[in-house]
Amino acid sequence: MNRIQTSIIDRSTRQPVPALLIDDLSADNVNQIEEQWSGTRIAGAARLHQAGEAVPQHWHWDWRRKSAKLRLLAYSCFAIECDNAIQGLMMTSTAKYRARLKPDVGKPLVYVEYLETAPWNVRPIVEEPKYGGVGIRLFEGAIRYSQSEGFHGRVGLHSLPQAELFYAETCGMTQLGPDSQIEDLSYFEFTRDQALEFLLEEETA
Amino acid sequence: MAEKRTMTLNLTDAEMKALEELAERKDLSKTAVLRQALRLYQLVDERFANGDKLFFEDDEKKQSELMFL
Repeated sequence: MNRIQTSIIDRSTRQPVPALLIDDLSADNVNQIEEQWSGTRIAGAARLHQAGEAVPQHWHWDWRRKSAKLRLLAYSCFAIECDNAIQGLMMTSTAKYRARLKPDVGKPLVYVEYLETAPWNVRPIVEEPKYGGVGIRLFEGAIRYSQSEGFHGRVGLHSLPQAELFYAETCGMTQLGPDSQIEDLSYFEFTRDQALEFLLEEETA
Repeated sequence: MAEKRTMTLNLTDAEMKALEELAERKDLSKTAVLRQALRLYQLVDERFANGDKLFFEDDEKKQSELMFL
């Protein structure tokens, strides 16, 4: 595993704190993370359900059922570590989808299969989330991975409805609309130009 | 990203030409094309090993070609 310095936001102080972007996680790593997350996620979802409030659409995710894909070269897993705990997890694929947006139609991209922030960082699941900015750092990891693979920062994903605003507004991805092949989830893509602009903004921030 | 190791690859002229054309068309380095090809090969091979089949569809969504690796 490689570790790259990054930062996320401590919500109690609203200040950035050092974090690590870790790549190349094994299935065992991912399974252990799920063990640490599932209790909080399920308890939070149950509480919200009983209160008649909206439950996060990913409440049923279980990374132990996703991690078997990591035996294949096409799949990779990334994490954000801070405060001796994993604060976010992302699985990507490099051999599943091709770019749909000009000028790179048909060229390879990094496809984000799953991206989840640790349940104690998600407001509906807990009332006072610990850290913010985890998702955007994972998304940046996907862009940098795309660059390192020679894909020029191209990234694609299908978003759950509750996450569409994050990918459209926070990440600045282009929304291409519902995909009938993938449960009508909205497809988002990031072009090479958007990637360049994103990374330039990160470097000057 | 994961550490990489170097190897020498011997290709015929035709294979090298195909690799160069793919690299040009996909806007990838020749190394990236081969790495991508390996991922796809492994992915498809595992599906075959599990008893799955691979079909290509034409524009009218008719199953048209069964592929074997």
